[in-house]
Amino acid sequence: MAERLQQVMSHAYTDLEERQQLEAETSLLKTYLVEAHSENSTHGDIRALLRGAFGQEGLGERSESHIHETEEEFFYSVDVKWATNSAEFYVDASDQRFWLLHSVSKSTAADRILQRVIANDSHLDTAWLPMQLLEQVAAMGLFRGLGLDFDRREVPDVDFEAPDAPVEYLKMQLWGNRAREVLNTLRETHAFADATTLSKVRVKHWLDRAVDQDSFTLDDVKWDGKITARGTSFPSHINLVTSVYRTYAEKVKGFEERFSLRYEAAQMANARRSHYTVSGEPFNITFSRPIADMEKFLDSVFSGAEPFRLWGAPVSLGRNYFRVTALDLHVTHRITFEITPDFMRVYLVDGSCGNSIARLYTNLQHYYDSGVTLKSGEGDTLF
Amino acid sequence: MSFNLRLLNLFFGMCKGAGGLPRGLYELGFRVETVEIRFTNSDRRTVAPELIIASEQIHHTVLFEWKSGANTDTDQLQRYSRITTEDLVAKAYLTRGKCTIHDIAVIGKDEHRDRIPIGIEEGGYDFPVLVVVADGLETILNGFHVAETDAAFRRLTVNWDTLPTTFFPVDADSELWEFAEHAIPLVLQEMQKGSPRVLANEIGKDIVPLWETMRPDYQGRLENKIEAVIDRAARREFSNYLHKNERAKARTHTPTWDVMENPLVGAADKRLKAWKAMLKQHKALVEYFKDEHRQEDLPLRGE
Repeated sequence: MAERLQQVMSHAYTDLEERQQLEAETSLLKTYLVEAHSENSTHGDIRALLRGAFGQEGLGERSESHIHETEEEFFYSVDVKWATNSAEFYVDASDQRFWLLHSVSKSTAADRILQRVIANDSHLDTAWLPMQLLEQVAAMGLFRGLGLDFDRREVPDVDFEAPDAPVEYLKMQLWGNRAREVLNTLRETHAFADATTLSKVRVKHWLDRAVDQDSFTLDDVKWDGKITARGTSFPSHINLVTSVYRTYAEKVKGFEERFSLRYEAAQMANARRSHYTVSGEPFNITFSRPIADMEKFLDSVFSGAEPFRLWGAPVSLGRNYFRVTALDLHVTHRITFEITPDFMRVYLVDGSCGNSIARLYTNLQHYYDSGVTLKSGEGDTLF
Repeated sequence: MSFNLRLLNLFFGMCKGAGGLPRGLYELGFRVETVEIRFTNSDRRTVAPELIIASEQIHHTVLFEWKSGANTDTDQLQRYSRITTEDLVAKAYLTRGKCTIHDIAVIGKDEHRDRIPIGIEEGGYDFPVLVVVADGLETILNGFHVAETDAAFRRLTVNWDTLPTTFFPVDADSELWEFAEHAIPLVLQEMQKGSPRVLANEIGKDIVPLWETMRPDYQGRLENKIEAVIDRAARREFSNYLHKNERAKARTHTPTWDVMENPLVGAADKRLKAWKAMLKQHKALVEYFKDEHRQEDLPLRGE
């Protein structure tokens, strides 16, 4: 698999170099970071999960798929057709929760299929990379470009025609060495601080630059966990991908460990009685400016629809104070919110998924407030 | 929310750094040690504070007793006064570094500010007494033995309107709409898993922390409220999906509902539509129970 992907990657790069552009149908190597929840995680369980997700159960009647096993445990390939789209994915589930899906199929087809699979299967979700994490990625090599993507229309709690209305949407792509300068300028308080949301970074990364200057990858890392590779070295690409995903996975697992509320009865040594302890704490989310219309905000975020995938009925507990006992439709786990115009407390119950927090925070950055912060009780920023 | 739940949630929130609350106690290193612990004092008599918080940083432990009524119990105060550091270490399982100094703090309602201190003054106890006022907690008698703690409590400003509610969301005195708000998502979670039945005590375990440790009669009171809201849901808003199974209770020993139709396990497109429809139904159910003038919805004979 690695050999084939190396071949495709360097071939595409040669094409790019020679013609300065790719032919429309030529395909770059793409790696998608996918988070999977399976009750059991044997090789067979994951095969079954793939069969469900990419089969008619997940994609619908107009689809056809074949799951092939490889010689290695936890590695599979998936041939899939859905409507007019077809793609092939190479699945690396060697980490049974945090998978890598590689594809050299046409980007539009692969993207469409994967989006539908993830929207329809409650075991799967993409990774959600908030902009702070993307900036860390930019530091993993040479920072060569960026994309910005902010779209407040997804959570329309203001009148965009009003004279003092906030930025409605701001999208931009910039390639070259001066990317960071532009980003810093846009983030200044008198510019677009609450609407400048990093959505993509382009980074040039070497596995070992001292050994081989010419073996590198030039990757576009997107906020939805899609990483597109150009360059000459698949090992460099995989090295970057693994570093990004390891950082992300540690965050997600750390959230579950530290923040999930657990109520425990500890038996006293010298008595038949127990005493009770509670571990875990809420996440504190603070907005850079107050929510303008609570009801509209809550209806957008908790409708159950993409991109937040949170389902819940907001209940008013007082003037401008709401509680939502929500379900995250990704894994259908409970997650509770207490929301005021200025801040939000988020509580994970034991057994729920830390990815819910990454998704919520990242989507708030993209669709509501670029300046939103996510902090622990101690006050440390969590990304 | 009851007086007990409001204070429990407040102190949990403050000791866990929850947003929108004063940070004084958190920054002094206070964390919740235990809730509803019973242990014996140096006279081998039982004490049962509502909550114990402690700080390793300033070697201070506070045991809280809250009073929703106007009177204190003379015997109870005497028992509290006989707690020693040794008792806290040996029987309440605090580490010695956290309880070099300890206080017993009594918290009451503002309307009882004249009555609550009487027993404490008459007994000659130095327990700090606080009352809940419109904008927080006010110390009205004595003070804490550690200056930093005393400073944190002396006029502790709290916005009661945005108090955390999630650490302990309901008790037996909570309103039915609160049970509806918490129970329905859990019912749907069960349906999404493909469960053929919904059991009231399983829902109770997920809503009420430390369910297993409660007395059966108290569990019964909670279960009655869960039953009331799911019964209504099964008769009206969720009548297409749930049906009460009276016979099954003999085997399950708890109110039981069968899942009849389950659109949450069907095709993806139908699932999304079903979630959308159920959101409206869930909102309607909570609104029904919030309405103080609601007409009680009783089962028809044979239903």
